[in-house]
Amino acid sequence: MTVPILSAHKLKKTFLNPMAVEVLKEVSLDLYPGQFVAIRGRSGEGKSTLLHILGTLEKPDDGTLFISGIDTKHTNTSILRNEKIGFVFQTFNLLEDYTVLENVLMPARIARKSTSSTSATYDRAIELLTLVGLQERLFFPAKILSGGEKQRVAIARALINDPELLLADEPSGNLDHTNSQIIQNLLIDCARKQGKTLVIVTHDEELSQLADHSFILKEGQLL
Amino acid sequence: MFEFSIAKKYLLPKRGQLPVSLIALMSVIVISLVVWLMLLFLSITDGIERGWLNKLTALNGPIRITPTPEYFNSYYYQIDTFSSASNYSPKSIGQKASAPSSNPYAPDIDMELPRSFPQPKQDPQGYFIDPVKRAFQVLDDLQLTYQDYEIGGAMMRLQMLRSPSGNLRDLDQHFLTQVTYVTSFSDHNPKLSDLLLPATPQDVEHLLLMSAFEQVDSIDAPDGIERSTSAASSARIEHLLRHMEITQLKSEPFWEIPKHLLPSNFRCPAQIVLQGKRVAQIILASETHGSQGTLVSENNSLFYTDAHGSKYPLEPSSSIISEQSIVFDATVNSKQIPNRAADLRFSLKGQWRGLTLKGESKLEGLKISRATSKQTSSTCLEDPKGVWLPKQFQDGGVLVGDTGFLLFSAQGASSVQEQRLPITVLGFYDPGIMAIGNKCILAPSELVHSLNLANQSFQMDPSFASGIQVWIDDLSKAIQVKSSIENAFQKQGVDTYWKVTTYHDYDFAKDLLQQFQSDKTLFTLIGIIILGVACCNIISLLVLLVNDKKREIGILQAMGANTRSIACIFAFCGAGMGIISSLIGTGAALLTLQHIDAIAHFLSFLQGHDMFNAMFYGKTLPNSLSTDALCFVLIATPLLSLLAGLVPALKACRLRPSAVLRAES
Repeated sequence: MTVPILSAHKLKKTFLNPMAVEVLKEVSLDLYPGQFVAIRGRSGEGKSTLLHILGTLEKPDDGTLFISGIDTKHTNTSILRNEKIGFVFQTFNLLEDYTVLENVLMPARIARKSTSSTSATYDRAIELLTLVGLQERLFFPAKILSGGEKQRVAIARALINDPELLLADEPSGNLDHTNSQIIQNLLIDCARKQGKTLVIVTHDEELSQLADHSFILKEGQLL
Repeated sequence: MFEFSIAKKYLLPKRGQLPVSLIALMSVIVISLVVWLMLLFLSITDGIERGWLNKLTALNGPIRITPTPEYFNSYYYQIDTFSSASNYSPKSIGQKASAPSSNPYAPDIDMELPRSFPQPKQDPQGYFIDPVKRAFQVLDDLQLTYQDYEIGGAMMRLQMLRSPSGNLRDLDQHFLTQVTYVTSFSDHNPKLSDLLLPATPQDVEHLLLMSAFEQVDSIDAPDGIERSTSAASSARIEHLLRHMEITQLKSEPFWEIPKHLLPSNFRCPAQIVLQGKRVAQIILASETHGSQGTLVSENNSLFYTDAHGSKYPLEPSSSIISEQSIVFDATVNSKQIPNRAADLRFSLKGQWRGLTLKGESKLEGLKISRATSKQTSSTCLEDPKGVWLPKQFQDGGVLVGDTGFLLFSAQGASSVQEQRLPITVLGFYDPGIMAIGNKCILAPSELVHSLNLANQSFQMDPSFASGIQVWIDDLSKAIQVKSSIENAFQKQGVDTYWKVTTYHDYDFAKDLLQQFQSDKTLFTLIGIIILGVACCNIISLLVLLVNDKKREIGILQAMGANTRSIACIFAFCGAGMGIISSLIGTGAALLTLQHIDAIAHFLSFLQGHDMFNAMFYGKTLPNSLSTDALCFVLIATPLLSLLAGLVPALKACRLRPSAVLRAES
């Protein structure tokens, strides 16, 4: 039987400030290699919180989370984030003062990989940026790019360390309809081509219909 | 390292980050200022300390080896008083070193030794232990520069013959009497040439004057002045010219220019003094006056033309006077040495208002304005009566060539008698700082030893009165060298005879050195406190930077940067600022030190008097950067800045990426 890339069991999260709100109530989820999963829900239902917990950016109050068979409670999650997970955020979250290429190479530099112009990582960064159609923008500062271009950089950056899991938090939320379609297709296309497990948190019902599995987060539970 | 490149990016000023850039700039300026100030102060203090140390150890070697009471109580020392080979008198350390035998006692010739007389000391191999020869052997083996010394005391009485007019018939006589210490002249001292002061032109003139006199036994009365014979005077002048080179002479104002010095064809403005119709004097005035005419030389004839064109030929008796002094380059004609200094002939070449005056002339009417000494430390020892006085005597009017006596009481056959040892002042030296410095005269060791042997009036502590001085190039190694000497002495079995001390232990140096150390420690402490305060600026800056870069920190964490990497980024920022500030401060300090004299002059000008007292700081302030201070600053500043960077670094580590990214979205 195939080992799940991500296995969450009875995840709980309660925010105490300003008043106790139980955002997640025993959420369980197993994700397998190459799966595309969409999570829908209304604003404030805790979709982003769930995605941050699944991406080890936040700790659950209770429950267990295994990524690639590793218990996240007993490991250095920064290594997991660097090697196993790629994030695509709604607000792009690029390092604005750096160039497109530097942004894409940053996770590799954090992993202490050589990023010199003769290295394999550098070649992969060029390849990924070509894949997302930004081969002409390599040395542009990230801050001067359009929203759509920024999200393409974010996708390339998420893929640079060849992670097994891609987590996208409303990736087209800040884009117009046309760009939104392009980015969604690009993300799904990249994930499928490279055999990545993709989790997308979205409001978009159309997008969720493209997923292998679609969940709805409602009242702290995944339906 | 990505942490380093991010830290570099944060430190570079950017548009839109004016507050951060301003605080960064302020922090760098403040730390640079502190670094500059510390380097400057510590370098100058270090330089002054080195200067004082050099002064302290110039006359007294940095290491001194003195005999212990055991040496004086030993058979080795006392046996000389029972030995005919030693002339029944104790020997100095130097004499012991050059004595043919370590044990001069001959039982068959010399008187029997008393029962209580100390026993000779032998080593395990049965050899007689010679403390001096073994000590000298140790110092030779260690390849050290050393010399034995002896100090005595006597009353010095100098006769100072002066002729204000330079005429031998017009002679004044003064006396100077002072109690002095007499130290043997250390010609091995490598710093001796720096200590000896060059003879002044006044000294040379005085020596020429003194060439006409003999030193006589009775100097208390005017009739004690005795003229030398012509041959003796001539010999003295010749001797002087062998040791001194007179290179420049200067005429007095209103000097009569010998006509043969004038060029053959010239015209120059002049004034005339007539005696009837005869030209008595032509005055070459220093300034052009409306009423003056011209002195003309044409076809070997000299004449004066006045403003109306009237000609006045000069007669052989007419004199040409220069209103102003004229400086001549001079070379002495040493082939013919006269028996009178004033008759010494010089080849002269000088300029007067565009006229070249050239030719040979007598010294009479001219003053020596520049003379250089050919003397070396070995020639200093040529004269067995020659002594060197501290420079304070020079300030008191003593000149090279003055003669006198060292007076002391000696036990005669039936009574204590006054004895005199004749001396001649050979020159002056800078005694540096030494408690007895301005009373200590340097004399040949034989003179000091004879003084000590007979002297009844001046009893000194024997351990102070003699010893061995050791000179080393690097003063900081004094303690190390001392230990090597002590160990070697122990191996040779002579350690009980000698006490080895370094300049740190000298009574006259101890307080000063300790004070320097205290000053440096105090300022270093103050510097560290100011530096700490300045580094607090870095804390505020980096806290601001952490707040400004929260989102980037969150992004980096999402990409897998761990807390250590995040902390490193801000610690690097702190250390980077420290390094930049240190380099700026060091550069500024180097620049200031290069122009320290100009700055000191400017400060003195602002203050209206000397900013830095030459007595304490020296003629010029030290201008070399202290390596110790540089090392201290280059280590302490980045380290303190790094520590300052750690506080915001910890704050950055505590940021929760989820919260940051959520808040920023």
